[in-house]
Amino acid sequence: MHRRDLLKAMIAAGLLPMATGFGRRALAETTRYEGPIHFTVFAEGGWDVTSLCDPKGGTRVDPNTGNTVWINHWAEQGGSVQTTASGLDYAPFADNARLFDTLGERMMVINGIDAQTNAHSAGVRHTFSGRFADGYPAVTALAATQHGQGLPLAFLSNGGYRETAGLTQFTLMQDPNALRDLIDPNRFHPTWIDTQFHRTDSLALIEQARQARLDRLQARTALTRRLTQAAHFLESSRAGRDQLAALNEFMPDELAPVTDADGNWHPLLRQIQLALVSAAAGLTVSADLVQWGFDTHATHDTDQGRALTQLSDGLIYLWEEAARMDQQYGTNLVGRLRLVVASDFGRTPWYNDGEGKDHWPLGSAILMRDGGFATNTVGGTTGSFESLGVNSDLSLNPDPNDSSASIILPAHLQQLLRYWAGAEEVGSDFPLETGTLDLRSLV
Amino acid sequence: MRFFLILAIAVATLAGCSQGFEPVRDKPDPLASAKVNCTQTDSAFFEKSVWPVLTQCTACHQTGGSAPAQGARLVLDPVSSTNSLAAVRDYVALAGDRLVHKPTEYQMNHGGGGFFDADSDDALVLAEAVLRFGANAPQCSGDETVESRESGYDDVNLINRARTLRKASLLLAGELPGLAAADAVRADDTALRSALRELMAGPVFEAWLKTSANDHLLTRKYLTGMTEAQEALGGTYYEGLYDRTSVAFEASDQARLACESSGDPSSAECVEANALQQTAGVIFRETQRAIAEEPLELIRHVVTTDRPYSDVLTADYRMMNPFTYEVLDGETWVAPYDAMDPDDWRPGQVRRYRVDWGVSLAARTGRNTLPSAGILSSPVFQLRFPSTETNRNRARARWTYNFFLGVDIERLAVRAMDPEELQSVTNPGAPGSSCFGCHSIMDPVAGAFQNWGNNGHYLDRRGYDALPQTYVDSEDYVEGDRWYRGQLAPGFGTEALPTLSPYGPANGHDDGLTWLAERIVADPRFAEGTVKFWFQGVFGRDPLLQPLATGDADYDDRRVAWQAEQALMSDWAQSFRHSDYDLKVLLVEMMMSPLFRAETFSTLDAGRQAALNTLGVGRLLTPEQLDRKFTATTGYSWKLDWQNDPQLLENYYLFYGGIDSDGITERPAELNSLMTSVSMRLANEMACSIVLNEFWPGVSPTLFSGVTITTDPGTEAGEAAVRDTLRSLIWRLWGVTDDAEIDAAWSLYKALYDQRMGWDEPQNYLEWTALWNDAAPAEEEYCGIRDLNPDDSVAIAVDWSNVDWSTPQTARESLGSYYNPEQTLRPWVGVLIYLLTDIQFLTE
Repeated sequence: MHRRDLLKAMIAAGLLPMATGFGRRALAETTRYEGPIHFTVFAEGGWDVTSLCDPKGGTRVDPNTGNTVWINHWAEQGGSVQTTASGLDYAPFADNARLFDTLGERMMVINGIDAQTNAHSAGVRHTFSGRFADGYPAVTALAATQHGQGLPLAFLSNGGYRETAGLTQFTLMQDPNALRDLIDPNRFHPTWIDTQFHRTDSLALIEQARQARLDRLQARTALTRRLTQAAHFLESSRAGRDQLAALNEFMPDELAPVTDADGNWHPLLRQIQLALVSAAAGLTVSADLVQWGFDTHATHDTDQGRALTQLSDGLIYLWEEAARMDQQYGTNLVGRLRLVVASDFGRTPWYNDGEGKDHWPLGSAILMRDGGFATNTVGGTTGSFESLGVNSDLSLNPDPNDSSASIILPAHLQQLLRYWAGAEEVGSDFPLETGTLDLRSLV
Repeated sequence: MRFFLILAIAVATLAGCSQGFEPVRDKPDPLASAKVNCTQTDSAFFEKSVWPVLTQCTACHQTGGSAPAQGARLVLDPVSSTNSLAAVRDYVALAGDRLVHKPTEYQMNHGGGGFFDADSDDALVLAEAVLRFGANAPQCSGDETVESRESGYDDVNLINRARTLRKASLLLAGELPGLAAADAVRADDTALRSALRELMAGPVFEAWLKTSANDHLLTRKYLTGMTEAQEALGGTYYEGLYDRTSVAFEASDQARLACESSGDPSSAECVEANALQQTAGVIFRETQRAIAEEPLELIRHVVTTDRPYSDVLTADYRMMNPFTYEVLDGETWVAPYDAMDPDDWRPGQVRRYRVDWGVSLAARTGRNTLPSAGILSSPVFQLRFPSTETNRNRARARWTYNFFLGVDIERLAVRAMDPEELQSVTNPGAPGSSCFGCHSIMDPVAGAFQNWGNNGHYLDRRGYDALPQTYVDSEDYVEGDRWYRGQLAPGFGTEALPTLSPYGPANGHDDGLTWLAERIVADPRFAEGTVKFWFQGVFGRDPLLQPLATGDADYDDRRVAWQAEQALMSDWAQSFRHSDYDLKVLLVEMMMSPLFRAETFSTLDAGRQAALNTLGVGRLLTPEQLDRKFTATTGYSWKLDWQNDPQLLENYYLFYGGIDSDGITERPAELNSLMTSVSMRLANEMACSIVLNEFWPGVSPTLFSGVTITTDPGTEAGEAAVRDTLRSLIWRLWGVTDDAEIDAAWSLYKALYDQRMGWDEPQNYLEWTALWNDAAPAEEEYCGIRDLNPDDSVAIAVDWSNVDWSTPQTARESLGSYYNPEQTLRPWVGVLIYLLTDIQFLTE
């Protein structure tokens, strides 16, 4: 069987959802990317959306004690749910007011997403892939596969759920100083001596030999897939590598800090800065960004408050930095950004003995884009933070016992995100079980 | 007529099957001159050579034939060479050389008589079959593959024994095996097993052990992350932890004041201040390292001293070096030590521990030392997997199951939970809910950690227990309890932890963890867990996950692949158990397997190939491994003069897939553009310097021993020399000797050479830059003039002061290999770059 036939057979069998970038295809499709940029911000550990975008200002029964307790201390202390001019509700907690006042116009909040688990790994996998079983790619990987052929940094990842299903590879971008030396490996350290290691015409011969070698390897169909796939990724990563030079134009003079005002570790801003640089250079389709610190089983208000404040810092910085770069470079980052923020699941609507909050399957997602959405709140939960479904017109059904309503599941969120990312074609090999509920009209 | 013909054939056949001859005694044993033809695979050899010979035997040697009826064990399938190959394999495994001795009647009788002479070609063919299919088949000297005989992997071919040794040696020893070592393993698997085991000693193996273990335990977070070990563990409990560091910094500060008073930066006071400051920095840094690496050092200690691997959980000591020994113990060691030696690791005990400010461990508990249960009681391990008042050590229990029993509790029920239960169950450890299935496994083990607080401090509630004060203040608490009433009682499986009172302290054991450790290592799953723990380190990936989505198109293929891998892992675990938990035995078995050695498929089934897409060679090397491979294969290190560590472990570590054991804990499995750039940078920065050094007069070359600076590739002899050198280089760097690749590398060398010779003004030096030579930008080519081996007797330095230009040789007395009007060296630079950036250099 010829290699091409083999690949066709694999695709037909659903074994290779997209034979992406094999052979010379990646070379041929090398181009600057100007389309939408898809960022996922992962609130790691399980965020408390009752103190964020699904605010609960009341009481409920703590099933451990049978006592009626405040869901949140900020409510117990007299705080009340706030509403933005655009009609978004939020909790008067952490730095939420600044977040929602600044960015509320760009948001759509999806509440009442049921992760159907309270185990971290299962929650992350379910929320960010749409199913519990392994193997489905993250939407950022799908977007990079769909739109990032030939791009050297199509998919940036700083952690979180970054399964690629072998469709593409992710890149961790850190330390801009070392990055400068990687943009053009044929240049000696320009700040020392600005020269090159090889004459251009010699390098051309070496490149030809490299490509011929990869072709020979790829033609050996008997080789184990691990080696040929590694060769494929080497080829595709070389193909767009010349474009890395575009980073030079956008590299910042001043790096974003990696600690917050109190000296706590806070790398989100640096992650955002480098992702925007790469997106501005036309090299990136998608990026996974991570805000750690939400698994607050003890001293919840302090620790969750810190994590939420840092998250707010990051989100505000993201849009401000994008706007600044647009102004400086004439890019259109703000107009191209498509952002989703989500977490493993939520946290209990009561405090434990250690003033912490434990895992709770219900959570939320926040989508953001310039210009916002026609609908800015979808789904919801009861006042005691229990499930509510939505009707077929996506309105909230206030009756928790109405079986005609549909609970929003991660599969619905992923279906929406794939659609939003224009990645349904490549995602079709990873079908989602969504039943009758379809959120795609929201974007 | 037809009847008579059939009758005649039948009579002739029967006669053939029963005729007897005297055994041949004066002919040589055909096995004596047999050898394996390495240009053929087993299948091809059988099809082309053996089957035509054996076809004549099928008249009797088939099911229902006269030979089996008389007890013959060779039963062929007349219509299937594939089935017959399997039958011959089985027969050779059972009867060995009889395959050839019987039909030749060499020193034995054959019921069917002698079919061919012992010195005939047919006999040689069967003799080769005996060699090939024997248990210890010799293997080829090149890079040919051998067929896998592992059940479940009979459609893959493996790298041969010599290449297996090479791959393992690079991984575990950071060196290439010598020719003699490679030759020694070609004969049989026993020799290979022995050679693999011999690799398991020395600093590289120890580094591999610790790095592989840290990929799971992640305790180096406290070495490289944002939180330092002393800060995380210090405070109330480890009373002496800061002592040595504090004293050192105070001394440094005092000396600094004296220095400033002197007003002279070169004064003796300032010299001393600088020295003390440096010492304080070393003490601080090495104390961090000693704490962060303690569980990793325990593993190293157990494995390298050939103790049962179960000691990693049952050790009644902790590993310390002088930086921790002096502040945590101070009494155990008998032999003298250098207080500043970070590599002197020995067992010790934590004696300097207090349970409250001003209250020593002994004063409150009567104990002089903290209890020890290997890794389980390691302070930094518990710190890395902390608990909370509601988590109640469940995370520690989860990771204990995962690391040491191979059970991922979170994967026991990969499904949607009942939403009502998720929101209403307050005690998942109570029977009656679907949570109970997992929690009944996890919660008792969590209880065995009862004496260890959320941050890993022993009896952190003032030495009474490790319960939160809020619980103690509740009505559930009973005086003397060590664990939560209402939780499942501490235990393991169905066995309860013996306690002095219900939910009270352990009875008959030092601690719940010492009791737990004994149960874990006695559990059959401990062996399986150990296999899984080392899987990533050996194979560069995690074990295949059991496919669960039956509707997936590749479900069946993945299930078959998973089952085969499970069977292998089960076999290894059995060997491990039978060896009294000798980790080296386990590692050898893993490296003998197709998971380590598979290189090609003999099946074209695309689904099957895809299901095995992480099998065998092609593992992307980590930055640590690539660094070691580069040094092992070239003899040089990619390191800047002022750096402590090589570039791959410093500037480019995270770019190339390193982890910080904190936020970045997973290594990428695929190359990306920045990683590719790192590999190119490595090649570009090093290749020309290496060539300059290797061809420098007086240097004994490592890579280019077959050629000289004057080897002319335009001559027949020159081409032969270049090709020989390429063969050696490709074996060193890629592990193959493929002629097509040698041809390609030769073509590149020649093309680069011809290109240079074709330039109007070919440059005579390895380097030509705008800065020094006024070169045009496109013509620049930089070469680092560095003495890469400053400790040898040859100094590498270009001396322009007094060059004798009479001949190239005289010029090279001053300029060395930097002067190369023959244009032979820059092509080697290009070839080296080509080889160093290839996927078979970046993977193994």
